[in-house]
Amino acid sequence: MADLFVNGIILGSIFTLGAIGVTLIADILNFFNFAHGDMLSFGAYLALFFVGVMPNWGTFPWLSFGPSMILAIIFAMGVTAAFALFFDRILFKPLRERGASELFLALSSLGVAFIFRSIIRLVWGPQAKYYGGLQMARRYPLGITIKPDEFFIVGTALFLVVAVYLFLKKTKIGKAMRASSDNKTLARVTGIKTEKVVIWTWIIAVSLTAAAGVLYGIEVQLRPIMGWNILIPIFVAVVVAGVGDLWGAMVGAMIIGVAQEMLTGLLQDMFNALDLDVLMTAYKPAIAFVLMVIVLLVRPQGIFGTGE
Amino acid sequence: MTLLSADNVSAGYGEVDVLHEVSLDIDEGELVATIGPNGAGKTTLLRTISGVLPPHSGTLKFNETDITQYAPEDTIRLGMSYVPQDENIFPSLTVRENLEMGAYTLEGNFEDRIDEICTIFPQLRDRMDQKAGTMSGGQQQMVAVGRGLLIEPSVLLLDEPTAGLQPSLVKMMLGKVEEINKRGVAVLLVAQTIDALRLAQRAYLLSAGEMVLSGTTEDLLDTDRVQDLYFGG
Repeated sequence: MADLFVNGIILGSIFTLGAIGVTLIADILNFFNFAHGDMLSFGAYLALFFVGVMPNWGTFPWLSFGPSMILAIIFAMGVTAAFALFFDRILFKPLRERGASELFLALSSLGVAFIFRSIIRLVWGPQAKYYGGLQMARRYPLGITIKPDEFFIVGTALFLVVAVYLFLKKTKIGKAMRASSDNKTLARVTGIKTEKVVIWTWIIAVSLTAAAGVLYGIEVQLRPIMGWNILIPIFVAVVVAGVGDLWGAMVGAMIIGVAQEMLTGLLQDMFNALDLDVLMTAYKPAIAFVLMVIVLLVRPQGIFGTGE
Repeated sequence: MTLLSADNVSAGYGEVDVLHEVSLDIDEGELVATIGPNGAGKTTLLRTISGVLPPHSGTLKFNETDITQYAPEDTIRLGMSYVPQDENIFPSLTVRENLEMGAYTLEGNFEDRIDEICTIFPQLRDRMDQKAGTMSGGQQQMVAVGRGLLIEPSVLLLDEPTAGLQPSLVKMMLGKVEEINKRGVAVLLVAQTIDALRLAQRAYLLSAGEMVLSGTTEDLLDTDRVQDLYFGG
């Protein structure tokens, strides 16, 4: 059980990076970005490309990759954000200027999701890819097994969350983003240019999801559908927490990560004991969905939402 | 000298006009009140002047610059500050951050400006790190007006700054408006009470989106329409 909990935390830290981006975009651009998962995949594949073209600088002690992976994460974050800004310019900005509804923006983002996925399939093909060598997990008390890479995953995610928090809390544009999320009209009245806030929202949100993609790629494997598959738990994390809160997104993501892993394990044990031939891992997103339905029934504004 | 003028401005929401060919002007350093019954278009007038609502027709001028098509993020850069009646603070931001947003268009250090706001509203000094949304209505109004003053505006558009305040706070807030005006800031005040109207040198009476009366406050106070407005009728 403890091992599943730890797995949930690792998964939750990846969800967190995605969820913060989704919540920022939902809050400031007013739509749920269905392309977020495929932007995550795109980031993962960009890192694969980058690691491939870099000279081999060896690997870090303990870890399965070397310094080139750190650079690859930064590269993936930057390039994926640039792609997102491109799509904002040619698609979302014209829609905003025409006063398109949330539904149209969300549906357009679904189109963008397919574009990203098609690019991935065209360039890298449909088969699974790996960054590097396989890594053996180490054993810890309580039956916990952790791969050294997983410390890196959680550590990097935490570092990025703190970095975004400080950005939003300390920088002028970060404060302007929070002000816009509170009240867009008043933000404009104080002189904040909405388009600038929108650009920074894309940069922060999408670079985080690209980083999440690389971390997820380190943890599992790269598939064109990888991001799409975790889009549901990421959305659920945002809804569970209540849109618009950074720490809420983090807690929501952790809850979903842990609940998904532990409930999957528990139900699998139960089915095994009943001698039923059910493979629970296939139902992980369903568990996230059921959790969301429960939260929406009990507390529609989300656990941390104020119910505006 | 005329600082701000509206010439035959019509504006509203969607296709419908709320304001019908409204004209007004404000001189430098003047305190001008807009009065009128509920729904007369006072708020719409301020929203239009500040650029939040683009006018359907007419001309807006500020210091001889045509600002008819200006957005709010542009008018503030000219020195025009708008404090809406409600939803006029950023609730999840601290008091300090709210004031910092008021200084968004300023370059460089504005600590002395924040300090000056605190001399006008001393209650804010100890609450700098409190989230504005958790404050009382009166304190929120202070944050809102303080935020509007940060850029040292040449004109302040104030929409009923005393709405919803208890009587002692109304008096305090009106005193502050007078003080702000004495510092040389022109004020266009949407006046809800007769006390607020008395602060003004001149006033405009709006009714059903039309400017029906204008003149010095003293003259207006003698008219039946204004008497009816404030003392029932």
